[in-house]
Amino acid sequence: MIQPSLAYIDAGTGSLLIQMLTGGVAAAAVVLKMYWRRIRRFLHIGKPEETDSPS
Amino acid sequence: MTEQEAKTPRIEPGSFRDPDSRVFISDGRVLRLLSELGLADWQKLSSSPLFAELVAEGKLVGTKEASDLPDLPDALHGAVAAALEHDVIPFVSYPYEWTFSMLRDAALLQLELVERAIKAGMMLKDSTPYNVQFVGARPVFIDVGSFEELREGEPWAGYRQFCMLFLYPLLLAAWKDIPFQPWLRGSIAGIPPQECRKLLSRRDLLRRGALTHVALHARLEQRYEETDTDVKKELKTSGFNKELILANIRRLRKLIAKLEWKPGGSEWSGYELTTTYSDDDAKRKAEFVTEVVRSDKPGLVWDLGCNEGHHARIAAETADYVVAVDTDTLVVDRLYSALGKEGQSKILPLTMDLADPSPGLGWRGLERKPLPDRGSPDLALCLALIHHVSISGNVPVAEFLDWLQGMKTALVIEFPTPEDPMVRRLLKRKRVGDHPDYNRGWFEQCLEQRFDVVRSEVLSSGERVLYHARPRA
Repeated sequence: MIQPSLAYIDAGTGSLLIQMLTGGVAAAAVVLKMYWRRIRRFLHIGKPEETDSPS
Repeated sequence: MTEQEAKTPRIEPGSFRDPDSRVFISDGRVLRLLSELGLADWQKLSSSPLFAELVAEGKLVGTKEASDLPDLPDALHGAVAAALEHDVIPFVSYPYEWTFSMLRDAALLQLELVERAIKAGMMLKDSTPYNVQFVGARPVFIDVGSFEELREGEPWAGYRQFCMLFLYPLLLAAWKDIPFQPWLRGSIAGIPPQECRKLLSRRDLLRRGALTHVALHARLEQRYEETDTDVKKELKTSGFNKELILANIRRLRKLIAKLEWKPGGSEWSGYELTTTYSDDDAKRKAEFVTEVVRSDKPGLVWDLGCNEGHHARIAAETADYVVAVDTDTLVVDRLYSALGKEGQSKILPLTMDLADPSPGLGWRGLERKPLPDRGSPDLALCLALIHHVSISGNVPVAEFLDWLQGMKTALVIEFPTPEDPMVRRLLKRKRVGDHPDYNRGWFEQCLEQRFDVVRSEVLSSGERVLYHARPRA
């Protein structure tokens, strides 16, 4: 299966993040989960696979 | 272009951005070469019921797998895996030549396709109005190569492009009465979020969609400009899914469908109503055009200065296709709506300053073609036009005729004499003696030097003369 990781156009990091706010009520859960993960990472708690590696 | 040149396959210079799909023009055929990845996406699309539905609805260009391919130069990043052949669009146009309603309809088509693609397990990899063309007054999506397999958990990669090339131009026109055409002609990538934000007032931020699609979008873009964080991965692990994209699309569709452009004032909107042209002159003009299109049987007609499209409609009765152009965007917007209601598929309405027609734009000035390079007319109607181009636009009479001569087109051209009330009004705005070349004698001399004048007719008012001229062999 061919799975490219990037589109040929620049999707824009900010433009990807804003889609958590344009997605309506369902998006709120994603926002909470993402920030919860960020807090855990900041506090160095959590499983290793939750740690992002820089791209 | 010679016959041999027309037969030689050439790369469509506007199609290089997607490395998996490249368009060629060969002997009037439109061919698309696909990479291995492009082929996998095409197979996914063509085997889905969505493809047949969209083509049947006229929303996606007719496409089949190509046979008897000519020798094509290597143009993809990798090996060519397959080739497709598309139905030919009669005349290519660009968003900076469209009116508000045209760009809005193109935006709604783009959103509809994204929504339906997602539901069929696919996605559109980009979001550009250059992927939409108009056949008459009907928008058609032409980039079959834009469809790809949906990658669950990823956000909509084309959202930023959608904002920059569809949403913001429409918002500026609807909210601020700022024409988007010069912005899009000025930047092929569109209006960036941070620039759009600067154009909105605090009051504008209270409008539906302004806070998220413009203000916060701009803020986040600025904040994350330098980041190395893999946001896509982060969103995926946080549970981002296609339902969020669908919710965004639904909101955008609602927002855009309600947008209206209410211009403050338009130069020619009431021209046909308030003009000094007598009924008899108007009737004779229509008859003159009818006689010429019947005798010359032109394939492609340009109606330059089309106004409400009266003569374009006459030409469309016999011609294959008519491109109707006017400087007044509001008049063309109304014409577009009227043609849509009539189901007219032979008249393409466009807006453009005819003293400054669309040039070549983009990479090396080749990506977006100048107007004549997209198909020279067999007949150009220039009715009640030359005084605007020559007096208001300061284009010398001889140079305007040079431009028409260069296209090897036949002409129906009207010369309003300096006694005509509109000409007098235009001349009054200039210094006395500013336009010495604007007189009937010089016009006729220039016309006869460049064309074979078939006949001419002085209209009953005596202040306007019609000419039928053919290009020299």
